[in-house]
Amino acid sequence: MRVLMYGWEFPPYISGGLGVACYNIAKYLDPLVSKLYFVLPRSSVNQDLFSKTSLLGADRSKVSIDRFSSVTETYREDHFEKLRILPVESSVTPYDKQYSELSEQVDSMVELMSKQLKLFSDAEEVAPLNVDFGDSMFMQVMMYAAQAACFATMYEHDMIHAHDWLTIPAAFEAKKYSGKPVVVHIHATEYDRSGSSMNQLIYQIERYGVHSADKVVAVSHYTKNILIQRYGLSADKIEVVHNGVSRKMSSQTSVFKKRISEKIILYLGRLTFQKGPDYFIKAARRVLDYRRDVRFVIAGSGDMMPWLMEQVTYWGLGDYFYFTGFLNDALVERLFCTSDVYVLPSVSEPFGIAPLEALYYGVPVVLSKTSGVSEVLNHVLKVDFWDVDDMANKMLALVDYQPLRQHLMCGVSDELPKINWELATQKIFDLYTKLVR
Amino acid sequence: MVSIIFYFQVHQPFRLKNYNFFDIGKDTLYFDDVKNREVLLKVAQKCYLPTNKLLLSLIKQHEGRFKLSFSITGTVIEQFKEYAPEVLDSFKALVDTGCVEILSETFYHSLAFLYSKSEFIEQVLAHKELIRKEFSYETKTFRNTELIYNNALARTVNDLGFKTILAEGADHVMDWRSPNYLYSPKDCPEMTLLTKNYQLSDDIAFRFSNQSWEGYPLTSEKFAGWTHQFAGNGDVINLFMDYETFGEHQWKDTGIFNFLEHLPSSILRHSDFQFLMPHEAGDQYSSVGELDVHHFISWADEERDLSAWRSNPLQFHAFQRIYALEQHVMKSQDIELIHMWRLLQTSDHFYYMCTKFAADGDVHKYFSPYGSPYDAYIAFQNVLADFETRVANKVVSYCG
Repeated sequence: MRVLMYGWEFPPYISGGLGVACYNIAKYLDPLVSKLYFVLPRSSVNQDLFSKTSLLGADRSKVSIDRFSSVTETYREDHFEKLRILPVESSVTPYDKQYSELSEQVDSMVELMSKQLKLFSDAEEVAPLNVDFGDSMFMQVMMYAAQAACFATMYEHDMIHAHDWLTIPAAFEAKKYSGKPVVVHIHATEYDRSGSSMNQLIYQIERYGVHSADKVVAVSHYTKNILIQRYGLSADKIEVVHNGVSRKMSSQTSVFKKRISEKIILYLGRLTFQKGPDYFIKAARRVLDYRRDVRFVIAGSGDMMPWLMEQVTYWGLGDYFYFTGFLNDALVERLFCTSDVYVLPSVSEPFGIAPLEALYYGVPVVLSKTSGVSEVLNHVLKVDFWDVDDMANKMLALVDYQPLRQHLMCGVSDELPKINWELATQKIFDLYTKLVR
Repeated sequence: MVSIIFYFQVHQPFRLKNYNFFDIGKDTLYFDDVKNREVLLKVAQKCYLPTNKLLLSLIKQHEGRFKLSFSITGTVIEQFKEYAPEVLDSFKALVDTGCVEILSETFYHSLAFLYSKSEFIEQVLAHKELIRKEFSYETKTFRNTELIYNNALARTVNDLGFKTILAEGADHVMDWRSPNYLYSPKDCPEMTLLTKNYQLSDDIAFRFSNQSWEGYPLTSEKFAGWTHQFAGNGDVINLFMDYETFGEHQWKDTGIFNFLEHLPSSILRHSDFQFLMPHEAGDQYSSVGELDVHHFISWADEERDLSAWRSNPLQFHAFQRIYALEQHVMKSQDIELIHMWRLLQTSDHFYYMCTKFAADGDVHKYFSPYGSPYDAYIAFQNVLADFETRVANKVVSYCG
């Protein structure tokens, strides 16, 4: 089995869970496959990380302007005319306006870039590495697709595997060359990221990707349901493969001891609407109405940070909240070691690896029911993210009721080993085998 | 002559509401009245009323040859009186036929025997008094909550004057013995012990509508045929089950009422078969031997032991905390407080906290009003925190 895989992030260049997941999938697929070509936007420093895996940088590949334009063209408005079905829910956001603006932007970008490229060379073939694409994520995705698809002609493969919308165009460009089956792996949807104010172009690419794929992998039943309900995908096309978690605890864990007597309740994640930090501080306020020997740590950054800080200060509760900003691994580890409760209040969480890490450090967790990770854990407390009273109630229960803490941690120690990457990649490999046959 | 002995368990608990931390010290209403009323009315419509009506007509039709028994808990009787008095009347009509025996148990469907013998006896006597008052009926037979049983329990019940007691015919206790004979509890030779034939009982209670079961579909003729096989090698066939089997656990459209309607005549077609009430068994048959049951057995889950209510630290902690209050609560002499304390002892509260997530976990989930065992534990602990404060205040004012 030879696999051509398209990813966007890979250690050490990561910004979130996607890179970690891709790394682990590559690592554990490596022993199962005969060859794994992992294509990334940029050439990596660790080229030969695993024995049968090659990390390929799309920036090494050269494409023509025409080729690039044709790829970009594929994902423009008129192409989607045929399968354009907007989500049923109405929204205050004027989709059409947003969409047309974006489409205009794309047009002008293509035009500008073509001019820029021509300045450098009159030749057909150019290396667009040194071209600044500005902020347009979409342009980067298109460029990646044009470049990365070329590897399909250079390396023999039996399967094409894409991770999230960013790599969907690349995978289908590759399929044009080789005609091999495509697996689209959905780690997060535009719905998870943006709620009802989705970026229509991203939504269209996701929709096109999951419908055109030979098989779709969803990281949870929760995500599977989103694909069914919001993307109109049929259930039998989707295979659920839960993420794993690998324990990466340092030996110095016991060194970190809490210095304050107050209980610490932890939020760790991006501070964006879909992660529900506002529900966290509302629940925290409920707790503080009741007792003051608790502190709340909010670790992470994001566009909601100023609002959150303002809000707790407005309540006169600034002394009880600690905003840490973005933390590196060592500090995160330290935080886990000193926390008494971890809360995941997400409005929409496709999977959620952080709670599993918290559990590995012995911190009991409260999970939003709208999260993929809550499907694989029994020995945790689950809440509706909007039920602030219940969230506060459960924070306090974990602070006060020792037998509950002990029992949860005892049960979870049996559950955690079953959530691993070996199992996840075996499922993916089995899926390949079925598709190739 | 082989006798079929039917015993149906009738019980509904007072479920707690989702009592949270912030209610402690502020809210003294612990129970979810809306939900309790809703469940009772639903079960009354689906099970109690139609089944009682059917049984009454069967008893009349068979002119004294069809007999059965009920155990009706104090908590469900209180709910009948509050929400559906007509259900209580229909049970009275059944008892008045003389073909229906009412069994004794703890008023609160509790596990008091495990923690306090004196509390257990008080609850048994309170239930006996309630049955006397509501049904003008003097109970003679005892069955403990969820058929929990051991030697010590039998001795205590014997001392209270009961002549017959019921238990689960658990494999690990019966060993090579058949449940289809009378036994006597250890060191209580004058007492009759009836053991449940769980095979035949569960064929009706659990497997009746299971389409992948080889016995499906179960007709009254087929079931009667199975019982008739014991002619000549058994005295009694003890069919013990939840009354809610009829119409609630097995819905009407499974054909369960049709099955019940024809069961008495199908069984009585064999001239060597009859129906008996539990208290009559000791007069007709004698014990084939003593049954030594040292460890507690019950009719719950695969294990047939106490693990449904008492197997994880949460359950142990909850029990320990509620029974630690006994002295203080009793000292208060406050009738309302004592009644409240006892309502919190109902076994269901502990059943909801069970974390056996395997096959039986589904059954626990089916009965539980909570999203998870942990939610059940948290609500119970929050209620206890409030209740403890009330007890403490009472004791202070009493002493002062």
